Amino acid sequence: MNVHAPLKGIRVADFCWVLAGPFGTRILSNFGAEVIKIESNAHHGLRRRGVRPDGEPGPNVDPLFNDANTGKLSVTLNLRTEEGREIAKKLIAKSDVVTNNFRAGAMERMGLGYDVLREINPGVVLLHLPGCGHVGPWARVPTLGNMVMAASGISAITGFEGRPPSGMGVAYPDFTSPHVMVTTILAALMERDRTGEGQELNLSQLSSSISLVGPEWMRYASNGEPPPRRANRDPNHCPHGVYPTRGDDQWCAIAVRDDNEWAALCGAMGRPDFSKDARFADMAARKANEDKIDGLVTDWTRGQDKWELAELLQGEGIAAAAVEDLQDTLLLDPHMQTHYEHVQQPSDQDVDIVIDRDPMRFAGNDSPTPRAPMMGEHNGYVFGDLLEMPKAEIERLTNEGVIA
Amino acid sequence: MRPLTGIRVLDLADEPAVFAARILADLGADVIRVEPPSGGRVRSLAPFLNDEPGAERSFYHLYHNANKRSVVVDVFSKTGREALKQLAAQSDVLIETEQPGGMAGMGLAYEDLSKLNAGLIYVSVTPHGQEGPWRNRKGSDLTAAASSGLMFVAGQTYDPPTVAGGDQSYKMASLAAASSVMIALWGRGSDPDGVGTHISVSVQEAASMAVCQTSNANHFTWRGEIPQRPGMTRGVFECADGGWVTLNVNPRKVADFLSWIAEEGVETDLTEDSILINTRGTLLSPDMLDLSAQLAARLNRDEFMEKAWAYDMMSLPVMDFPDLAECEHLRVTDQFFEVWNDPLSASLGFCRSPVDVFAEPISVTRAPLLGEHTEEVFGELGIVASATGAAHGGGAS
Repeated sequence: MNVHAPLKGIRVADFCWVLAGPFGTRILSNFGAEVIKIESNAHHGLRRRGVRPDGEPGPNVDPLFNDANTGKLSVTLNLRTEEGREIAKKLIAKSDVVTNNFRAGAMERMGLGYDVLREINPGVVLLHLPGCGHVGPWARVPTLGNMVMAASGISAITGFEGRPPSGMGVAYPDFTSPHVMVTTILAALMERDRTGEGQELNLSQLSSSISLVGPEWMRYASNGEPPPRRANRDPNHCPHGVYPTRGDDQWCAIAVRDDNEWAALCGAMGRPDFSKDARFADMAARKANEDKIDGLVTDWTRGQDKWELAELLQGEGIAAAAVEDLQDTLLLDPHMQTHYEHVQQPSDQDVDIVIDRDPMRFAGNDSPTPRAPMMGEHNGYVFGDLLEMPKAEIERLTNEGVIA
Repeated sequence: MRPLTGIRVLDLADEPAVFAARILADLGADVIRVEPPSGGRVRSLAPFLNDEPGAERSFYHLYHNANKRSVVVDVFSKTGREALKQLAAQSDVLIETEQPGGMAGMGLAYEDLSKLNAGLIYVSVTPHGQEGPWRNRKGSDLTAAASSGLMFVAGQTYDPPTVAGGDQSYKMASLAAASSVMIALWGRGSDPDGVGTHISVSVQEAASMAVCQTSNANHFTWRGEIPQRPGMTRGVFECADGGWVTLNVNPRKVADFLSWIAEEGVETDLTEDSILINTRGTLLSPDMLDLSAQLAARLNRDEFMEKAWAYDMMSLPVMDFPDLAECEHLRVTDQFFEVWNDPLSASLGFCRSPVDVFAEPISVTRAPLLGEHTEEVFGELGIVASATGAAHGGGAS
């Protein structure tokens, strides 16, 4: 297959904004789909907050915008105008997929609901990605990803007892939903190729987030006992957690899964006697004495370098890793060096923008991730070449604030 | 017909990617879990149904392996490896989680199997990918959370870095593996020769995608900033009844927010203008967090939600599992359902598949018993049963 562009030939009219939606269409774009991002000066997304490192406004350099829109084409189109919506329909007629992450009902209110789109293009796949789905009492509640995580049960089992339920510290569904988008869009295109019919996909970030704690839900449903906060422990490992190392807020993660690894850890600690100690004889015994074990491990790790400690334990066959902050992943983690890529925008060639490379590596594809588009960069190609609109009309619509 | 009807997936994955093939199974693929005679490792993971250990009783297994079939193949025996090759020759996708070189050592690498089946899509999910200095490191969900940067920004400033519940690094890897399979199936379909490929997913890298907003690289390269706990999630507030809520006031809602807190008797000298100037649109400033906390403290959670939504504010409650069970929105959208498991004589609680968005609803068939489908699958594919290299398993324990 064409490992550089396996999705070549798919065209996406992308109405997504902010993060969760754009990160999904970013994957389609990075794997070869032609993703046309519909933007407008009348409907600001991440660009508005774009500021260059020198403090000047920089609508093309916002780091998140650049990370979430790699390889896409950008057109400007004011969907608040009738003519703007008509042009959108022309684009949709030539597209395989239409994506949006507006609130439920927003596409319908713009006259771009599925009933309208299927008339224009019976094969079109229309994907919606609202926070809480398209039906039910919360269908129109405006949300952010961190709120959806809080409502999904993930926050309820994360962290230490008695602390605020702040969960993962990231807007987690913004980064899981993209994969769900890609998976369901491609599944719908496969169905279309079989039946000739497109379809409307109503995703729910809340519903898919709950599925990520499915085993925990199943256990609760069977015994009725609310699961405790996890702290940093795990029922199948002991010890399991992060242990303080030399420096301020420096930690090493250690996960020991069986008797052999425990014996190896005891050896590394210079205390082979612990592996024969009845209190720590097997997993059940270690679990019963986990606080004690954590204290012993902490006494040993404190004062060591987190990278050297992880290396030492890996050498003994134990899963261990330095807890990395941003500086660590960027500069010190040898493995992540191939994850980050650098791009520049033609409008701001002095600004180095670091972006993330997709984690799905197809063998033989080492092409770099392309930069995100500048605002309206592809108006000429899309309106002129693709939709075959005359130059004079494009000019008129630009002057009248439709292509804007 | 479902989207992946006719696609056969060999699922050799342990924890890091066991959810990937569940998603493909939900979409209609014929997913065959290939397990050693003692059962795949996920079957041994606590907790267990009624806290009684057993190969058929792990919730991790019962959830992630629903909608799959199970065959026993002992890949450590020559005949077992031969059986696996015959399976791979007739499959579209193989997902494995061995350390790099592990499959090659058994003659089951992509290079080996693609000779038998050029169309095979072979996905390897490992702690750090197939290349690079850390490729042979051992990993766990915890170490991936640590090395991806996820842990450092999770939890409280006064607590250690915190790992998420539910093995979320493994979930990120599984989701990436599932979407990579879909991409590759499409790519193979567009290739006149129908040639497959080898895909590598690093759990560390897949998990790092979830941190690319909170801990965006340019924070450091541009300004030398290192994001700290609790990352993006400062906006959680405790209500008068002990419930918790989230709230984020966007710039257009500042005036409404000030009206609302005034109604509840929260006093402030701040004005819309001063708030907008001081916060520059982020609205997670100490002032706004403080006002939101005071507001929440005066209301019970349900009252808070009702008023927040009346003002059309971005807000959801923080829900624990009993809240999920009682949530009206989740009830009317059929989020939860029970599936009878006959061998266990138990009804098990499931939630909707993340990909349950097609006209035909996705149903759930209980996870297979160990080796339950060995004869059936081998019969369908014309593989001689003695080639399994192992006695068949089966039977609830």
